Amino acid sequence: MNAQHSLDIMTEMVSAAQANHRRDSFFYLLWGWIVAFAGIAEFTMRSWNPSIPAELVWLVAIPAGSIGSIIGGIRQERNQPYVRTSLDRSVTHLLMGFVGLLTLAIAVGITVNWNAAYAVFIAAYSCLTVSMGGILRFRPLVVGGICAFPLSIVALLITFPVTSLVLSAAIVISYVIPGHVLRRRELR
Amino acid sequence: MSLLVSVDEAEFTFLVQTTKAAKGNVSIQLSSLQNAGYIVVWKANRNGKQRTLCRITDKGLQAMADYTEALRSYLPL
Repeated sequence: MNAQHSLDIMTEMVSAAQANHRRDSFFYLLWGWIVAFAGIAEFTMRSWNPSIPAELVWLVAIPAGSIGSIIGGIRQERNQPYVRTSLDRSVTHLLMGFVGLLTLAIAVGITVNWNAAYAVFIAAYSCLTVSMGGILRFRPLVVGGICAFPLSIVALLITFPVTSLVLSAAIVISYVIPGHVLRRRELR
Repeated sequence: MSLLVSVDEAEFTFLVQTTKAAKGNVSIQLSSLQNAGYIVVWKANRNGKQRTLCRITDKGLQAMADYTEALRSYLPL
């Protein structure tokens, strides 16, 4: 192996690490659409009949997304040899931080109010997409995250059930649209 | 070694595919590197499949740094 071959492999590794994450559109679209539909369903149920426990929508949506992610993850790993780069490590730690913020959002919902919880949730989602976009050098994620962030402030200024619609809009901007752009690039 | 420097850990199949070398050839290289203490090799079960994984050690990283430094001094770069 000469110096040129080593350099070629290094270059290939960087591209492979980036391509690895650019195959993640499945997860963006899965979670994006699930959360968007759950928000719309919650809004519809609360508007139609406020006595219905609309929050139960999340008890269906979150396990459905988790099961879909596990199945998708296993399928993706089966189709390609395993390699873990520093980029993967960064993304894992970022997601751990995001899960921590989600826990905080639920705690805020229980102790303060759910409007504030949704605001924390939108802000956490926005920060996650901006950071992921930066790490993966994928501009649509950065733009989506930046555009969705002001909606976290909007969520504080309005009341239920409109907050659920704002959440859906934020997810469409920060996850669904960049996810479709990513998907289109993968299929090229 | 160049490959393992750029990743945290990698599967044997990945090394074979990326280097485009024969499995036996890569296997011999890995054994030599493991005996020298430059890499660690272990088997792990991932998604029901037994996979051979490898990772570079601190000693391996230092040896690679020394090697590239030596190359730099030989080559007019």
